[in-house]
Amino acid sequence: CLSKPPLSAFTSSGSPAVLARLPGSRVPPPANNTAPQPPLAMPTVSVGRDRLFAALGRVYTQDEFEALCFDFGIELDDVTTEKAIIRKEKHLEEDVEADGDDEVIYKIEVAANRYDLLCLEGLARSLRIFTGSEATPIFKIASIPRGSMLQMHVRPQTSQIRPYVVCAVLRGVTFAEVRYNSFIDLQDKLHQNICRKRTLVAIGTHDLDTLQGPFSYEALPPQEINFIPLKQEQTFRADALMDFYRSDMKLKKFLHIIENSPVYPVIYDSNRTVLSLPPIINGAHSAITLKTRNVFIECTATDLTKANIVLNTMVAMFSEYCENKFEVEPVEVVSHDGSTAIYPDLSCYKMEVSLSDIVGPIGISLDETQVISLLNKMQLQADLCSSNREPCISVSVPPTRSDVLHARDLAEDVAIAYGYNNVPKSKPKSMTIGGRQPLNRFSDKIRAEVARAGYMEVLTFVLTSHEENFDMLNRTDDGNKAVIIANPRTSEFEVVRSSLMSCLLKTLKHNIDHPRPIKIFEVGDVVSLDTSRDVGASNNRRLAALYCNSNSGFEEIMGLVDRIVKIVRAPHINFGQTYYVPSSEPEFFTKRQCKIVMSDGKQVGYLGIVHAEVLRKFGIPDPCTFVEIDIEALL
Amino acid sequence: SDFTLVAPDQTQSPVFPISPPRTSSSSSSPPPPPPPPRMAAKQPLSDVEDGLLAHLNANAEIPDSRSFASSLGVPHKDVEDVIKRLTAFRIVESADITKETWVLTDEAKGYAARGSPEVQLVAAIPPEGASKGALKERLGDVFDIGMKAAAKNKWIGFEKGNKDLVLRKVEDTRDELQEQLRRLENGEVIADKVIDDLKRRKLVTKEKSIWYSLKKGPEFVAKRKTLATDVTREHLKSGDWKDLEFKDYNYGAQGQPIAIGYSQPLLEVREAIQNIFLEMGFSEMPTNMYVESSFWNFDALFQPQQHPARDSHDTFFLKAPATTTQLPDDYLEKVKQVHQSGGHGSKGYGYDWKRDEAEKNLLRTHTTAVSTRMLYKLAQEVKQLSDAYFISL
Repeated sequence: CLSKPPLSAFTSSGSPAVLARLPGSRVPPPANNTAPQPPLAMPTVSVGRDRLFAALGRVYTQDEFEALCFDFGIELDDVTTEKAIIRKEKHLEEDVEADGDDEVIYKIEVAANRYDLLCLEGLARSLRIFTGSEATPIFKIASIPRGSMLQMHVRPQTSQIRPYVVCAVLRGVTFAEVRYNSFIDLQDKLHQNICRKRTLVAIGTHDLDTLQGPFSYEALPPQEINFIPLKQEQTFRADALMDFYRSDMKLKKFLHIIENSPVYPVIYDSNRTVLSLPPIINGAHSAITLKTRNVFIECTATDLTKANIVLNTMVAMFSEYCENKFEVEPVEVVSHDGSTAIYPDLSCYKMEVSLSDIVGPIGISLDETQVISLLNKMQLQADLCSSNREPCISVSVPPTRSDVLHARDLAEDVAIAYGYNNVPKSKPKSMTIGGRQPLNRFSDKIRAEVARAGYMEVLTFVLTSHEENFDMLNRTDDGNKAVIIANPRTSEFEVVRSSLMSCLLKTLKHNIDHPRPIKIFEVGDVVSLDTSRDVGASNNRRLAALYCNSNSGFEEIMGLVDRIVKIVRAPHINFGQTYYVPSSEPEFFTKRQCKIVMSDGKQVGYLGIVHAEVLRKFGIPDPCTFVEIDIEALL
Repeated sequence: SDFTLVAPDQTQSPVFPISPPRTSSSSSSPPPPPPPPRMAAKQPLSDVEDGLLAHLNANAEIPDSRSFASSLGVPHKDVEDVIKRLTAFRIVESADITKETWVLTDEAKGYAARGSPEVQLVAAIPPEGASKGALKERLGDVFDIGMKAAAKNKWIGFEKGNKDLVLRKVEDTRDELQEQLRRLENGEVIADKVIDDLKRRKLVTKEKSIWYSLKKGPEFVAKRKTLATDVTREHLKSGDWKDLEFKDYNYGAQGQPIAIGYSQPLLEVREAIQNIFLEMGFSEMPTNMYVESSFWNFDALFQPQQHPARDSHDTFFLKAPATTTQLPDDYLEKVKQVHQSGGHGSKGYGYDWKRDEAEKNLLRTHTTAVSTRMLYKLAQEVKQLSDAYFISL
């Protein structure tokens, strides 16, 4: 007769507190649906399906494409249309006509450190190389005599705010609208991810034909900077522009990067035309259009390594559309101390790795030539290197694969190219003795005992609101108890619970229509501040049980406590003849509550009839008795 | 629909007709209260049943259940109960006999018991007479009605000049009304003229009564066997169980709901998964540390300090306790070097690693933070590294 287990409503909608989860494992859904979507650790790239298939040179069924994605280690996350996305954003019903296109869009989730997969060009190219229909491109730096190379002069004041700049030029680019959009989208994606919302790197792209080199990268007081920003028609002074953008949904979140600095970074050409006010906005003068043929790219940064990765990614993706495919024109950056450097640096990172360092960790046996061909599928140019006694492979990591730092990264790519599902299963070669954590084993025994006593187990969120943890329990926060979250996403998850009481009361409230008596329990951790620990807080394993009926059930809960005491009573756990000591806590009725103490006087728990005010605050109409016991103390 | 397992016990329960199918919850309700005490001597219903069946067996029919009841000396209600029970089992066939009869009102019942108002009044007047006030006090409501009827019968008189003193004018009064009422109460036939008179005085009302004529039914038996519903302690003690015949169970019925406890299903699943690892020789790692430093959660895992997962959008940082300052300095230095400039075969991330960022406390974003601490501990404790398998759930 378990077809309708009681309290099945515990898993139904309307109850937010159902599953226990490790805190912070995923951000709880924001209460407000209109809140902007946070950038995820795994970025999602939206590409038009038909354009993608055109770039791949064949049409896939969705299943075939999903299989390809799986093999390559990316994931087809969603299939939608622009229309559906707009409809969703505006919360329109299915039958309401929305703007936008009916073109099918694939949303593809890629690894956070694969910046080369953030646009259709790179994604398609990687898949073509993976499937063997194309060889890894070799990026070339156009050979230009030193004297005629474009220059970017860096002024010393920039070191106060944003010290680095790297640049490159793409010549003879053919932009069609889709290519142009992809170019802009890639900048957005890079800004969001590796550029850390423009704090580390900001990209500016310009129509070179509207400008006159050499350029200068300066940092000036905002009052001295005047220009017409992109999408505007009038001249703004930089400080006024910042005020102007305070109401701009897209740009206002970048203002903090420079607004408190006495000098703002700015890039000029030789005619004092402002190229950009990084990391906020470009000038209108040099804006890229569909007709632009020669593109000047500048990346200003606080992190030079990342500036190079960003610049390399931009040019590696879009040099595909240059007159001389995959050829990039360099720019000389002249530092204020006179030193010079030429960008972009498209050189490959050379690694020499022994064969066993690659195949060993995977657990497969391949020879060098097999491994080399697998590495080539992953855009990693590999060759035999004969110098060592041990079989060895030399690998050239191209500028697009900035994620490869170590031999293990090569092993990962070989495993992907080999196919995870093709790796043979093997048994562990050594014998080990398994075992449980004593506290967890003990917790499970207690859980089973309480379930046997007729209580239903629930799992609740570890996070709770400050109000539920304190005020609603008639308790006060003295500042020494609860772990408090600095950046809560919703008011429901502000603190880590310091007691299980609010969790069980909330669960009861959401299942209040269940037939009486309602008997629920939870064994779980609470966290409290603890200066004796390195992190300043410690977990404590608790058992909590709640009884709700038309009467309080105090003696029912006492019976449960008696049972627990009986089973844990052992030579080293000493409970006296009576272990109930009257208490006076605000969450319970006066004279209807007590502490549970061991014979040495140590308090291990408390119980009582929940105070009428507390019940009212939680919206519970019937009397309840609650008990909470520190079971670590009984271990 | 769910039925009770057995119909109500007929040998014990006087409740009839047979109850409609009852829900299991109502079947657990307490037994009905015992029937109210009756005027007639109590006779068990089984005796009534036996007598009725014996009579039918001998005489084939009972034309009037009312007279049969009086012949047994039991209230008709008892006979009626038995008839309904036997009819349900088709042991007898009954036909309804209905008749409208005159019954006494509450007021009339009082007169039938204590006498008519006029007789009560006359009886209350002493030889020397009595004042109206004294009589009214003694007789209450009866006084006014009694005065009127007694005056009409000329049973009372008044002293000249003193209208207040009531005198008794007859020695003996025959209480015709009480007699009529008693006859009616006993079911005797009364002349219509009398009835009209009683009706006018609001002493009788019309009531429909029902009784039965009976004959043998298709399942007639002279003596009905009583079927047991359950085995009781008494049966075992007395040895009655040997002769018990049981009523059929309804196996389509549901059992009684029982009070039961439950384990959370997700934790059952966790246990199943955990057992796989334990059987393979994995040891559990301690996971009861929700607050963790960025150092053990990210930096020690070679996760760069600008990684988007370390953004405030993806990680809960803490206001209290905000930082962890106790970090192993030598290990921290190694972690810093690998992030900044590489080592151990890695080229590193090439950025300026900051201790402040590593000290930021957070709610552990993954149990790999537990693994980090475990690896560090192993490296500190174990001299000779041997295989070890760990699991955290």
